[in-house]
Amino acid sequence: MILIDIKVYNNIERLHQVFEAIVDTGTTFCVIARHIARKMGYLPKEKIHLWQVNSPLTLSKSTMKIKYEEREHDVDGVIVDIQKDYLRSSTPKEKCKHPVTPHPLASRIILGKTFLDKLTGSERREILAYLA
Amino acid sequence: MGLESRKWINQHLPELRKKYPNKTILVCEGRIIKAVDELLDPIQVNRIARKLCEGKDWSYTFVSEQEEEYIL
Repeated sequence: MILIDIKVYNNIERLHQVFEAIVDTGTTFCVIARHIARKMGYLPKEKIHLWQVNSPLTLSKSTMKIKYEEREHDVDGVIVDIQKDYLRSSTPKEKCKHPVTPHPLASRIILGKTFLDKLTGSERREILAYLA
Repeated sequence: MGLESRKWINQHLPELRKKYPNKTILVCEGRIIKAVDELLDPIQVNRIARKLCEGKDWSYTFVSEQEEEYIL
């Protein structure tokens, strides 16, 4: 897993904020959780229908302003709903079956191909070097 | 932005999982300056960092004990 820091523009507070991001070379879109998107002023736009292994997934698209080093990019992203219970650690007596730890997107975003395609070759190599 | 602090976190993650399990940590110039016993979203983290790390190299992470087991 590659974790990097990028800056995402907060449309409400009108400033860039540092985000921990998971770089996922197998993901097409960048992904942000709805509870964070709402606080950042990213409104859901048109629906997009994606196919997973088990079932279809319908998400809302949004354009995110993401800054890597000194350059800002308008990046296609999707907003995903995460159930409230998945945003926290489970308690010892809890009977539900969700993982003990919170969902990875509760405090991060995913950077997919729509972001990586905006970078220069050297910027991409710099990020992917973390895998080595 | 915290290039050095991010590197520090990535390098020390195995030890951090033992010392700070399920805490949000804020790292500033290569040392942990705040550990919170819960998950904070990035907007909350940025508010804290603006007070504690203004103008410095900083980064954050939620130190999950088991995350890799279900993310990969």
